[in-house]
Amino acid sequence: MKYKVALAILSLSCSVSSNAETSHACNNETISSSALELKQQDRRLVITPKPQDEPVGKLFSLEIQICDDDSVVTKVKAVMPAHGHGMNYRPKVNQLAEKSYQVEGLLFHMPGVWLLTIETKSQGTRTKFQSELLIKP
Amino acid sequence: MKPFALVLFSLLVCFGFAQPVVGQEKVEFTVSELAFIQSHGPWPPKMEPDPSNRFSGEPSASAWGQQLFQDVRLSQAQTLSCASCHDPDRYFADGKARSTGTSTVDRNAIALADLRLNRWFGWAGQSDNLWAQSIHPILDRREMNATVETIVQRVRQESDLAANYTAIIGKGPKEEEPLRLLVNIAKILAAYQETIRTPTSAFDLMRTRLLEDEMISEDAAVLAGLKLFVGKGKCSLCHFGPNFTNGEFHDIGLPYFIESGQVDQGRYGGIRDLKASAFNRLGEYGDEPAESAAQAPTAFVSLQHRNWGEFRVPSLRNVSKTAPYMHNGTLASLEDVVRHYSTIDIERLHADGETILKSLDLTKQEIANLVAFLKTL
Ligand code: HEC
Ligand code: HEC
Repeated sequence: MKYKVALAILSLSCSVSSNAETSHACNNETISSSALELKQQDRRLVITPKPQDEPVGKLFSLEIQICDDDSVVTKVKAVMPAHGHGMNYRPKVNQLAEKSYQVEGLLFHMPGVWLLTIETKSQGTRTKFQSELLIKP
Repeated sequence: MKPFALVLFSLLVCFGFAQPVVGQEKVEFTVSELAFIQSHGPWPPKMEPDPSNRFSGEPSASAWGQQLFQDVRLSQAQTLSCASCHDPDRYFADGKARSTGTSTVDRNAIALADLRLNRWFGWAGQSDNLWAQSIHPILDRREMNATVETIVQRVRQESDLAANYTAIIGKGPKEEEPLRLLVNIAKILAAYQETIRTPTSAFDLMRTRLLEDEMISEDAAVLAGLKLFVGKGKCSLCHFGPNFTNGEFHDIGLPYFIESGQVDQGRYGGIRDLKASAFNRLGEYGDEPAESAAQAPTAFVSLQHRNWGEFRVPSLRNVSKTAPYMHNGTLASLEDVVRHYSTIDIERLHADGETILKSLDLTKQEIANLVAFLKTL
């Protein structure tokens, strides 16, 4: 029996929408299989973990592509709601280009459900994107 | 929503197929338990050279490192070597609750093995690389109690040390700046220590048979212990992966008083020492390119209040050979360890928030099974 280690997505808020097509990563036709789309009302972003496999106990990065507007990423964090703890690391958010960010220094030190939160800001409007990630052993 | 996510999730909640078991008791594993068993291998994982140590993986460096590891000239009084507390005949530990150098130290000597898999070194993770961790005991007042000057003088004056230094480092010890000389000696010690490996274990062989459906007459107690470890005991959450550690820090409710009202701060003190150290991977003494050093975990680690009283999750490979247990050596046997988890009082956890541990209330038989399993590692 073979168990694939993958970032498996539980959140139902991640349905694929058909409008708004701003960049390659946001385009529904070209969205990569490792990417995950997060939606909050009419706002959308796409995250891609790097590297994409074996996430437990290894530092990894996330690429974030803002899809709809000129929001900037202000905060990224992750907690394990069932265990009452977060990460032991504080990720650093770097802007790569307009609407494009790289978040370094994430580490999920246990398998299980992690709640990922990404906060963005646009002209005084703050948006909180959340998704539950099921991290397999 | 991605379709594979649903599939994986439903796999987790439903039960796996029954494993064929020889013996009286039948042990069945759920799909989730099998996934954890799978994650405890294969062994050994790939171990790359240490980018922060240019001597890592060099046979001549590791050969000299093996000599230095036994060399009492690295201690002030020329009475102690690394091997005094990391005895090769005792799986590189010393069998004592707390080690004795020039006087008794606060912690239990960690059995050195498979060190390339460490993200952090020491019970509190005070170092992010092996050579920095190797400097600690040389200079620690209660361990080898030497000074930088003593080490520099000895390496410059003792002809065999000077000759090896020149041949392997490529520069005479007299031309070397004192701190760099000490760092180089530590890097040579590290090159040797990295070669200390644990062999394939009885568990590794059983894991392969189990995953390939080729079970032979497996010991029923061991299988039942394994099921507890990956299932109800939740041991695998912290003792995760091929090396049976997630490499991080937790509080399992052990006393952290040393004596005379002193406390061991655990990870809290470890992070502070790490950040203050000139020898961490962000400092000037490492050999890796700046881009690689910038990705070191030290660049991201954050100091939190809950780090008080947290200690590093130890590897469990070879664990039956390295008693006594825990950062302060207070538990004498594996039975004692399992009984601790069985009757753990969560009120005694110093760190708040962690809700993984609860008393398991194991039966006598379950305790024996879990111990039988730990002995296969
Ligand atoms: C007096 C006894 C003593 C001596 C001598 C000693 N050590 Fe240790 N060693 C310890 C103790 C105790 C620990 C745990 C330290 C801690 O957590 O603070 C340890 C931890 C370590 C670790 C961390 C292992 C891990 O998995 O994190 C390494 C590496 C190490 N020692 C290498 C050395 C080297 C190299 C020398 C010789 C230069 C040496 N030790 C001399 C007692 C000793
Ligand atoms: C919450 C994380 C966590 C869980 C769950 C956990 N452990 Fe541990 N374990 C640790 C930590 C941390 C230590 C070291 C604690 C210390 O020294 O203060 C440790 C130490 C040990 C040791 C001593 C090893 C040594 O070399 O000193 C053994 C054996 C052990 N655990 C077995 C188990 C078993 C069996 C289970 C399941 C019943 C288990 N652990 C569950 C975190 C955990």
